[in-house]
Amino acid sequence: MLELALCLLMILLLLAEFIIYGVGAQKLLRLRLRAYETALAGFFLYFGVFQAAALPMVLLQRPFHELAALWAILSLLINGAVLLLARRELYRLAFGMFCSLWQAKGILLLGALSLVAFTCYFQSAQQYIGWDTSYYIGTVNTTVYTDSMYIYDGAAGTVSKYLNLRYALSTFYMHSAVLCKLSSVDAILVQKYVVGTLCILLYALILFAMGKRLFAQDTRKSLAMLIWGMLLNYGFNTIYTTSSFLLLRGYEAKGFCANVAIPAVFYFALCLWEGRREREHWWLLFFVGFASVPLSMSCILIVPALIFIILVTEWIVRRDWKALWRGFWCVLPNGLYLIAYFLYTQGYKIPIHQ
Amino acid sequence: MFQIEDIAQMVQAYMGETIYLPIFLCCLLFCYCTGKETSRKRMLLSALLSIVLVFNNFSMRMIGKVTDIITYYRFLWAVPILFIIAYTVTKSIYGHKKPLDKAVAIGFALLLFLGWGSSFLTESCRWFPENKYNLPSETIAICDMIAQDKSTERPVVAFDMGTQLSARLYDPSLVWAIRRTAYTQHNDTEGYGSAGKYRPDKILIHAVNYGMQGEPKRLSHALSKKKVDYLVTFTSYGMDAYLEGLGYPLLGRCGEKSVYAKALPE
Repeated sequence: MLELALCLLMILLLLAEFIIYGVGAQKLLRLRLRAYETALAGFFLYFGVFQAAALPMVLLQRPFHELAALWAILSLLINGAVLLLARRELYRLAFGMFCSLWQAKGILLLGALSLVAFTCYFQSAQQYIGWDTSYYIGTVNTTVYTDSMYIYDGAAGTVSKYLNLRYALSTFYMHSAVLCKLSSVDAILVQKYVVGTLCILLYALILFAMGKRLFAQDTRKSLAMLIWGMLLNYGFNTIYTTSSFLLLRGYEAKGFCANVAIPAVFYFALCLWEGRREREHWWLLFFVGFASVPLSMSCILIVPALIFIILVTEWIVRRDWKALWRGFWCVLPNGLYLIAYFLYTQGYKIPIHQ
Repeated sequence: MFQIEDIAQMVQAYMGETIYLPIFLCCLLFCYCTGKETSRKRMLLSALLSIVLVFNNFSMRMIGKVTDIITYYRFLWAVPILFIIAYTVTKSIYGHKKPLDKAVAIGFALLLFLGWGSSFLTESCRWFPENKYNLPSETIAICDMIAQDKSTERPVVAFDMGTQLSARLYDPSLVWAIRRTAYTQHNDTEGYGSAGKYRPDKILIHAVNYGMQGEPKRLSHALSKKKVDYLVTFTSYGMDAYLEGLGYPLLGRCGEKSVYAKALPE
């Protein structure tokens, strides 16, 4: 029971972290984001920063406990700095969120919240166990158990010969391992209950944000769109759909690719089409690009391809050369990861030195 | 997705029995017809670019070379099927002013989420986790039994496939004796002609996953080559005497499974 309570606490703390990172970015870059955009930006920035801290340690094959310690210290510093420098913005944001919720009170808000809560529960109750489950949760488990990162095969528990960059370039599962290490909660509980729930909450947030954008900031219609979007997932059951990666496998990195990173790019496209507050939305897109591979290796080609199509469309419609230039910076991180991965597939491998 | 040859097959496999694809296309048409001039242009251009750059057989093969052809279906995640349907449904509901028209629109939308036979809400879905780990209780009991008995830090275990999938989610100290590729590509009762380097794994699969008892020498060799400490198989196979003869007496039973431990030298 204590472990489940800790899982709930972790969800709340992570949501708070996303908001803190979002407010920090807002302050640092002088952005004017809406509350839901702040949380979204913070989520991507959080994982981008984690990757910046974790990837060098993975590649250098440092012991895992060093990463856990580094992330604990970094988090304290970043949280401390934001709380110190942007507490007024944080307070304003929290107050604004409370007021918005209060204004939207009614059957639609109740329905939306209930449906999201039910979906979180439904996802947690399902017992999908496939080869990928064994590998991913096994990786988190093995990392904590062996105090090493990608030295052992996550599924089998045997020592690898090389760092498997197909997985090691994305530190998503190392983040889960850090949560396990810091909270002493089992990997399967963290993945299923904490990470899976976060995936659903973020998906709901993006659906709501899209509704706001499509229905001219009408909260009622946005909530209605959130409800329909959530309901539709229950009828989209084949093993490869985004819905199956939301309702059965939301704790996998692929779930975040399908239901958070890609929809976030769509949200950006909607913002770009509206054509207001461009600077903010370019930064948001950059955060998505920056953190897409840290979230999931599945994003390595999909996200840049999607950004490219959206921006070329925009360039043809508006003859806006700046869009292409800015877009280049947004897909640059994925381009670098792609080069590294391509070299790996061509035989440039990092041997394990143990 | 392993035997997909072209985009049409991939879309078909992705959509399965759902009716979302035709509904999505109808919704796109609706958005196109009711949208502004620039929105129409954007929709048309992005659809064309998607087809030219991504959703064609040539791109599928090229991208398959860089990443992996069996992961190509993930590009279909970039088609905003549910968002467009949800938007159109919401718009059409709020577009009607008469309560009756609204009710009809809501009723139609409710039918959608049932998915015509491809719903997640079926008899087979779970309403309560089996335990706090939401793992088969049998697996947990097997892992606990091995943990109590083990004399090495990281024992090597030959599991039947079902237990293998879930065992290391609970106990990361266990090491698989049978590789994943062996289970995904050589999980049958056939001979060893195509097994190649997975031959020892396949011998173990024959024993623990199918209960085959006709090859004691091969099994003994595979067990020593793989340094197997424990075997987990179905009790119904009646392997007690056979495995004891190979130096793996019964350790205990959990549910439908039996666990055999390597006999320690006296």
